[in-house]
Amino acid sequence: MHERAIALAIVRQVDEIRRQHGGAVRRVRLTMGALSGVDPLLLLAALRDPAADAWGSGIEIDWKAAPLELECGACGARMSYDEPRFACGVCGGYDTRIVGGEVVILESVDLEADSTPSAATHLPPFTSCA
Amino acid sequence: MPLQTVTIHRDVLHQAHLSADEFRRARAAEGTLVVQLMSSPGAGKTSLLEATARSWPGPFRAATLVGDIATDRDAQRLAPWMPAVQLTTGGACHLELPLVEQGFAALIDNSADHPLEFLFIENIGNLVCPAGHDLGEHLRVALLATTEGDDKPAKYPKAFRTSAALVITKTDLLPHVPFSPAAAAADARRIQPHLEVLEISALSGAGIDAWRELLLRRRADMLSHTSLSRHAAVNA
Repeated sequence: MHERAIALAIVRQVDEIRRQHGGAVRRVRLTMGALSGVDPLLLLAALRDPAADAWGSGIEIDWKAAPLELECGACGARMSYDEPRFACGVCGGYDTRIVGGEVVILESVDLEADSTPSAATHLPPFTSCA
Repeated sequence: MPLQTVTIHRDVLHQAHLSADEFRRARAAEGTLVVQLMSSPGAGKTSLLEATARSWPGPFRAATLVGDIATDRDAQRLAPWMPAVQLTTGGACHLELPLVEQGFAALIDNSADHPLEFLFIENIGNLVCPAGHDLGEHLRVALLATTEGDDKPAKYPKAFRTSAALVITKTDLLPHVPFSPAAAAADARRIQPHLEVLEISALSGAGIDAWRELLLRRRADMLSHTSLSRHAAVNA
């Protein structure tokens, strides 16, 4: 898919946080939604090089999967699916609204204070695809 | 060394959505309906735009930004019919808003026909990656050709879920292919029940009137919604 584009966006945003708060990036936490269109392992692989270029090796990327969460417009039921499905599990209708699991969420960043910051951050070009 | 945890809890593409919303609002304020066409390669995006321009009664105040990995073939095809700017990514398999904004700026610089009534964005032929990227459109349209099979929508859930209309193309080939428009529409509506479904043949012109009516109706809705918002803001 377009994991590299998402990876570059993550690196830029985390680096902005590093610049605002100071310190060195040690850990990034992500939630990957079932309908985000991203394969978790491909995203982790796509993050490896840009993260190392920006902050050196040894950065931990923690991630968890988030199911697709739906709310039925007809009967009001809420349900979760691990893969793309849009039918209401209660009434069988298809008039469902997505209430979670549609995106990749940058949850948090651990910064180590008083460390020597990495040398001038090398950020990759804005957009590319692999 | 002490660790500080900074909590963000935000969509990685949050800023991209905000920028897309800004583009959308700006175009609406100018009376321009932005329509994104998305499909597999060869499903007929460019042909649909040619057929739309060809059959438009009266002046067609429209332009297209067309995305491809390489060549400007589609922009060349569209040039006789409307201003067209080619967005060549050189590698990226989907368009993103910054490139669309650059293309739009180039369009306005070179075109005497601003503001437009319709801005079409023809994405790169791909039903996967484009689905996750908001290009500032008011109307996202997925195309599915009769040659592709009527079982495809469920295979590309994000593309069809995020679309407002499904245009089944190449209906002139129906006598020769095992494709059921009803089955394709049903499959797509199990993902997005609110899809408007049209069947067209760019070659024969069948269904193009209904497509034009959809565009005009969606633009009218956008204009009335924009003027209501302005009225509400003025009277708040």
